[in-house]
Amino acid sequence: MNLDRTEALIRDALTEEAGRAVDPGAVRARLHEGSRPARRYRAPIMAAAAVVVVAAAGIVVPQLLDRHGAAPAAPAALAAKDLNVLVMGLDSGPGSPRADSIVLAHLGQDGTGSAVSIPRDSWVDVPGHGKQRLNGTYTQVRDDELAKGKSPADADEAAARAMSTTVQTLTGVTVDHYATIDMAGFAEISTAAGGVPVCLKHAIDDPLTGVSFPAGQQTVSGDKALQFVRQRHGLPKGDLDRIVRLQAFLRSLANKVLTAPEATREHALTTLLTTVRDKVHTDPGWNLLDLTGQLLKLRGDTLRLGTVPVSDTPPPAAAGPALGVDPAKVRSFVQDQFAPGAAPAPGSGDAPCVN
Amino acid sequence: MLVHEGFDLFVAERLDRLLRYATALTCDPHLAQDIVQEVLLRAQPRWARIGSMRSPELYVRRMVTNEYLSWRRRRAAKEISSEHHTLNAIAAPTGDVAAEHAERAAMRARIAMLPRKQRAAILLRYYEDRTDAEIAEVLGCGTGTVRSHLSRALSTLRATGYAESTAKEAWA
Repeated sequence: MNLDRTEALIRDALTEEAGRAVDPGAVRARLHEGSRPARRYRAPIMAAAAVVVVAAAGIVVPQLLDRHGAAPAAPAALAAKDLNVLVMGLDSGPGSPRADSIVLAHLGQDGTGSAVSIPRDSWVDVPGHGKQRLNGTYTQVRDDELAKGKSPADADEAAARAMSTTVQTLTGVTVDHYATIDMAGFAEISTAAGGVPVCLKHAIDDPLTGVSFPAGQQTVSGDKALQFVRQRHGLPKGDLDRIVRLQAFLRSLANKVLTAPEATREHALTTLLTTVRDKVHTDPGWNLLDLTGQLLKLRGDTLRLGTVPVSDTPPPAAAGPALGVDPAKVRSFVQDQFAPGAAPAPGSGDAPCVN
Repeated sequence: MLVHEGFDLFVAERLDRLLRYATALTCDPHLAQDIVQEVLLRAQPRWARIGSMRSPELYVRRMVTNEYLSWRRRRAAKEISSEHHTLNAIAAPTGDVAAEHAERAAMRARIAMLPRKQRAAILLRYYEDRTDAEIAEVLGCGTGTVRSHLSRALSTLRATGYAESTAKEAWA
């Protein structure tokens, strides 16, 4: 690349990066207050109260992640550790969004990856709020924080932390980081990836929503990808089938990126991660690009993707659709899914067909 | 002009640019916000002195840069091996929006993986159009060191031709 072109590209890249700056109004407000701003880089995901709850429930107390930059023991290398990330897909409101897709992803230091989906209607124990539907937790906590006068960004963070604590309690697994993504962001990421191959068992034609797909293998991106993963009506197992669609989509996406030719794989991945970084909200201070090294080691075709066991009989206290969950069964399932060692690779190269 | 008015004026005129500088430097909007807030809160009671310097703006940038450079949390970016393929003529820009976006994203990722001082130098040169002497003032080093940071950074950022042009094909 000649120097002029490099320089122009550098300028464009820096301008784009700089454009992610927060609104200066927030800083101006803090300066007028004159007080020391509360440091964001404070608590690990799991709040102190939740530690007590978890310990009392007899779950092994996970290691708290020290956020204050305690120097790692081996400064030369990335602290090799398994990583658990809670990913939440948010719908668009009106009002505070609901967490429609809840996926706990695990990246093992041995290069294995797995993810468990937790159905949004799961009837779970939310620390500090009692039992309720999982997806309503995000909405409720966000609304509570807004009512207390918190900023939308702070309310988002509190809601995501509450979800992390809840999932931590349910699964017995430390949540190291979270990432939330809204619908527009999801559509844009699938476009940035150049489309994702999927396969449908049956053609879909819904005059009510205008959603239409042929049967068989096809590639989806942008709005089509969003329609693919959001459809619930007309699926035999409703939300559980929708979860299977999301899992097929994620597996296919991972496969596509990780089977790119070796020479270009790192570039492809870092480019995609930079786009993802723009579109998702994560816990403050976490740089998604840090994952690049670990993600490059992943074998896309041996990911373990599954859904936590749920009960058919709705819990008696629940109003409306709700799925009972047995925490002991969930913990055991998650432990198996996250165990080191890869799942056996599937036979064919094509995406498996889903409802 | 009253001192506190001078500070308020500085903030009114420079905050937006300062935030953008910090965001591009840290690649982290939240961290950038925290650093800029901290620095301005520290600078405010000292404004009588800072405001009368030749370039308060450069001085505040220096404070922001130092705050970031001394922030202990390590990035894993250095652990990522960056094997750069030798220069090949890159395809002329196609005008294809998706390809340009991918190119910019790839460059942003490379910038994010530079050592911090090199990134600061690049930012000051290509986003802020500062001279070697001004960059030296912000980084607290000599102009020779500035030139060295810049040339190392450029050779890293430039060596993308082959890999990037074939990366576009990976998505085809």
